[in-house]
Amino acid sequence: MRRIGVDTGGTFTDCVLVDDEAGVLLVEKVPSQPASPDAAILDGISRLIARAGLAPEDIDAVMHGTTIATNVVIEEAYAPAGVLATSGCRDVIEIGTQQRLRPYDLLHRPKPVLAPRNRRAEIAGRIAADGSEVEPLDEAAARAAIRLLVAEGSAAIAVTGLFSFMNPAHERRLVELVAEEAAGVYCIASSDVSREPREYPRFMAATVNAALAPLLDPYVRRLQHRLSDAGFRAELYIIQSSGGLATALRSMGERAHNLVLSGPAAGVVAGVVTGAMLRVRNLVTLDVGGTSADIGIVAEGEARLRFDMSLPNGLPLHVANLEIETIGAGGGSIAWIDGGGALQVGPQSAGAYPGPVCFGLGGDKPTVTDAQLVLRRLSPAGLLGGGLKLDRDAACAAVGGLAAQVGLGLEQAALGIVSVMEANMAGAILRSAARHGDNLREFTLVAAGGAGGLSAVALAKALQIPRVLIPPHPGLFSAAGLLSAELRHDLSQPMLVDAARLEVSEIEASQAELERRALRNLEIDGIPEDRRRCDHALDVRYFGQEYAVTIPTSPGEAFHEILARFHEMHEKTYGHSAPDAQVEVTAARVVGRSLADGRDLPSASHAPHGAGGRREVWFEESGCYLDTPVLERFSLRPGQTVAGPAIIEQIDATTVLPPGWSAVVDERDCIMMEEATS
Amino acid sequence: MIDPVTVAVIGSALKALIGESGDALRRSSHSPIIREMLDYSCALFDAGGQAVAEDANIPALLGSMTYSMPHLLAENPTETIAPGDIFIGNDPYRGCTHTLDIHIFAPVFAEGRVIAWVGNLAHHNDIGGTNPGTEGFANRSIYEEGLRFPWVKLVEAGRESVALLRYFENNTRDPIASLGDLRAQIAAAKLGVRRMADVVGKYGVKTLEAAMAERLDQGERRIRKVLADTPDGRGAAEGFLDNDGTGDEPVKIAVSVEVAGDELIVDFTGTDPQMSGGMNCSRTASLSAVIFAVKAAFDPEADQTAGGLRPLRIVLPERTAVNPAFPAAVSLRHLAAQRITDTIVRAISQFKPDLAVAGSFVGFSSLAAECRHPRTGLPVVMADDLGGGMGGNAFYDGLNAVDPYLGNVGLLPMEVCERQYPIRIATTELVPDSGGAGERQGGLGIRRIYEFLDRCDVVFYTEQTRADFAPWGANGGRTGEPARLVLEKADGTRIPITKNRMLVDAGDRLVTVTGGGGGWGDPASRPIERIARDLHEGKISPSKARAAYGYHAPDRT
Repeated sequence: MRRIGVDTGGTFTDCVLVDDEAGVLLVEKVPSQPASPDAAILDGISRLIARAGLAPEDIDAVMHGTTIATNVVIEEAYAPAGVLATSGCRDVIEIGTQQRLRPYDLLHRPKPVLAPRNRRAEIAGRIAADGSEVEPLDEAAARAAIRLLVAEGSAAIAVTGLFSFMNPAHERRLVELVAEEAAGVYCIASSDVSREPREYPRFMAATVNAALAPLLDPYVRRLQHRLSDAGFRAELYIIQSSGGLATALRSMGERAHNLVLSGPAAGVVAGVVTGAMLRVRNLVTLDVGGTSADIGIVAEGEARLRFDMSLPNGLPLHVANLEIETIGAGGGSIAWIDGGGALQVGPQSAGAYPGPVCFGLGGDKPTVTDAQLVLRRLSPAGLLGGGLKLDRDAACAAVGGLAAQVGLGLEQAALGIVSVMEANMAGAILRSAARHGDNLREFTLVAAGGAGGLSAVALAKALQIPRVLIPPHPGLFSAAGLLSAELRHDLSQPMLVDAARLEVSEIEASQAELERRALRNLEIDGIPEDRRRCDHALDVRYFGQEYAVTIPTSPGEAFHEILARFHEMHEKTYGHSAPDAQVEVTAARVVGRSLADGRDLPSASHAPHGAGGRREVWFEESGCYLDTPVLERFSLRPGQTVAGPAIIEQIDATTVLPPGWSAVVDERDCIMMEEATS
Repeated sequence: MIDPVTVAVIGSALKALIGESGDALRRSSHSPIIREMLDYSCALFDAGGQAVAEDANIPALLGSMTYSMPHLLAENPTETIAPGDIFIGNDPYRGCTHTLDIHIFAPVFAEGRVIAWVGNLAHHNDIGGTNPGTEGFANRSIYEEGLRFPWVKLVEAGRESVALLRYFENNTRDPIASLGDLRAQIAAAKLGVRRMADVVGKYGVKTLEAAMAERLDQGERRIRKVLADTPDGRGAAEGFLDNDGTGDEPVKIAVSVEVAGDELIVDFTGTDPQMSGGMNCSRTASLSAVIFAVKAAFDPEADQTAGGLRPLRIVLPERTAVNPAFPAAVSLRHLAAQRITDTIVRAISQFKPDLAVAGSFVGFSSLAAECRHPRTGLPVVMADDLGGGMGGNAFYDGLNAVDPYLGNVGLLPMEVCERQYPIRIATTELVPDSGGAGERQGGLGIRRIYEFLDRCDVVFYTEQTRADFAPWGANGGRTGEPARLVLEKADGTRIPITKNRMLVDAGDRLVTVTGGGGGWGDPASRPIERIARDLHEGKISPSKARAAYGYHAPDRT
């Protein structure tokens, strides 16, 4: 099998080709083209296959991670969506939770509204909490409203009704009416994007979908066409916020909003895959870029999935997504002293432009990257194999200015900037782990991104994580993850069943129906029968709680065993349980997935890049500059052991191995770092 | 002297610990008021009870625990406190805000002594007393406001007090939710204590204590610098409550605010005497209102610590509506607290030109209903609070439909309400024309209709139903619309609501219309395209466009 993974990032489009038969892995990094991301993709993969001596038709699959939806959301460059609401719902997406994003801001800017009020219409029709009809749908009014929404410029329409997760009849009928009155206008019902209760997030998911689909669908189609025009016959798969792949067809329409976290999801999937390869079950993945860090947790070989999230502007979105914590801490984070003399790092970032002071592009505020350069953890000779020159004197002047303000020496201040950023990251990792009662002593930290390796050991020490893993290409980690991701379908059926009066058959019927749909989807996706699998779960909670715990189950399992696991998991997650309290089941869930074909990624063959050497590097552990070997990453051979202190460099990443820690290169070219046993 | 890096690193760890404790509290709690409305707060204190890190989701709780800790410490001599103890308290006359806010504190021990405290407080739906939901506008004394815990041990050396828990359970109208929430609070405090043990292990007691002390000093220096950089000045304002909950006479809140050097003096001299009803603002709640206004006006980004409170001199005359004497009822303190904040903002804006904002809706139209769960028939208490429009400001129109100032509680989702309570919400919508006219228009209020599907015992209340006390305009802007509540009985009678308690039956409906924010700036300066856009969106009517802005909509062709 020959597969290509393509990850479109803000700066670079990363491409990885794997040829299982030939045992070859090739990588290519080309500049992204924000105006036409597909052009950069074609450019990158054309170069790859040329280097591999292959033709387009030799490629079996193309897996893609994209930030196009993320960017639409961040820039609020949505398509003009309209909302067709049943009774009482017209203003739900504008009123939201009635909360303010910044409660201490008295001069607050207006809240973002995806569909302004003139593109929202309300017509009679109401479903009750039990799914019965309280008020019939006014179809004549609906037809008029649809025409009005179109006249107001709606390029897509979201249909929203209360309790449609219990009974979608009104919403479905309205979708039909839209097709009749406004043929060609994209339409989506809230019950088709989410089966979760709570009107606001569900309606928002539908509205976000309607505001994205008209923009994303053409992109996906264009990419498909360009690939086939170039001679590719491979199926195009796109990674979803859930970390699962979906066919191009299933990445459009009602699933368009599933792409919002497509980019970061691949990094966590890469963690899952790397863990499986190395037989490591528990991982923290850390991807550090210029402005932010993404933190993911893989427990017992699985990435954690949740069913709601917040967009950067505070809007909620009901969508299956990997639990990724993003914090504003990265190389570009700016250090400053506040009015009380407290040292602060971030959340402001110098970004890529003007960037850190040492880039010489006009940045004049000291950043984490400047501090790392002062300490010579980053090479004063520059980054990207000399492609990015760094000015250490400028960095010293900027950090020195800050040091003078608080009466610290230059290196103490630089160390302090790094320490504060790492403390903020450590806090975020701790909170991510704590949400599920994870014991970090059982985890391995995987550092990705250009800057992950600079802080990985320091974080591991702070969090008592015993091991750190650096993948062969930290900068291409996400693209590699794409290659091994599974197809996946997350289906759920809401219910409200008292566990004491439970009809097991009712739950089993729901799960069987979900399983049937999931398997059918996989079949349509072209997954052979022996590689289709379904995982079952139930959402369970104590009576009166609104948040449930998702408990994995096996078909036919005795219910009292499931209940026992619920109490156990509640205790682990929240620190208390109440085995005597009343319990209810709120949803059945089934995940349909394609089993990976079990093949590992081949390791890449790499020519060492650069010469290595030695330089004076400041470590927190040493409290002074140490004459430190600088090792070229791919001069290290499998089985080789390195004792800290050392700096390990490669074209797109730098790894710090402090004194007292040692590193060993495994047969897959991963670097595993642990505290040295004396 | 401790270096700023260690202070920042430890500070970051303490903030993460508090955040984690709050996550645990929220996710394992039972009642929507915590889960959906986020009415809880967590904090970490030094051994002397000074807050060194605080995570307040609801600004109303800002600093509250800083004022209750001293009471706990005074009532419990050091030698009586042991590892594994957890204290409970909720008495407004022992430093708490109102009886519904239950405070939980756990000591952190190291080297054989208390070196810190972990605390949290959460709003409970009901804690007994005369009224469903405990809050009562007509309460004559604190004895109508449910259980009052003095500062006692709920957990003693790791063992829960079964007697207290059972007594508590037996005295609330919604025991499953109340007990579940209390357990979530205990678990959150225990988690905080465990995490503190890690922090102590990593940095040592001496460094940790030095870092906590320096964090307080940094907080103090930061706000003093902001105040010193603000030109000295003084402003004064008066705000009114519609009535005291029992009569028809308005109640005055008078405040003067003065920046003098690096200090701030907030003086409530001139405020009316304490009320005979339940709307008095307990001392701690009044102080929280002041802290919010000061933070929002002067330094919104600062970490909240007790150090930041040191330059404040707050004068709260005794036996007034803002500092009532025992045993005055205080359960509905929130209405007065919002008005206090609103009045302070008005006073500060007189001498601080960059606080260019009009008044927001502070009526907080609410109901609490004692009823039966629609599926199980078990007793439950439903509560919902509605915000309204925020005042316009020099840059933007006021926000529509928000819980302003101290509030920021979430709206009860219509789908959660109907699943948990025998109450159907028919609509939740914006109120056109409710925002005050201005160059920047006030935000719109909310209209929500509740249909009762079963007999419920309901307490309704709202403020700001009088036009003369509606959200104030600023800089030439006009006032917003006041709130209007009407109970429509199934038999067709209509009962206007200000503050009422009554039994309702299936088929009765409550129509709640909350107020809009005040406008900022001369309406004549409002850009035509904004007026036209509001008209097009149905946010103002053609008649209001004409009356307020002299704008005539072009005929549709």
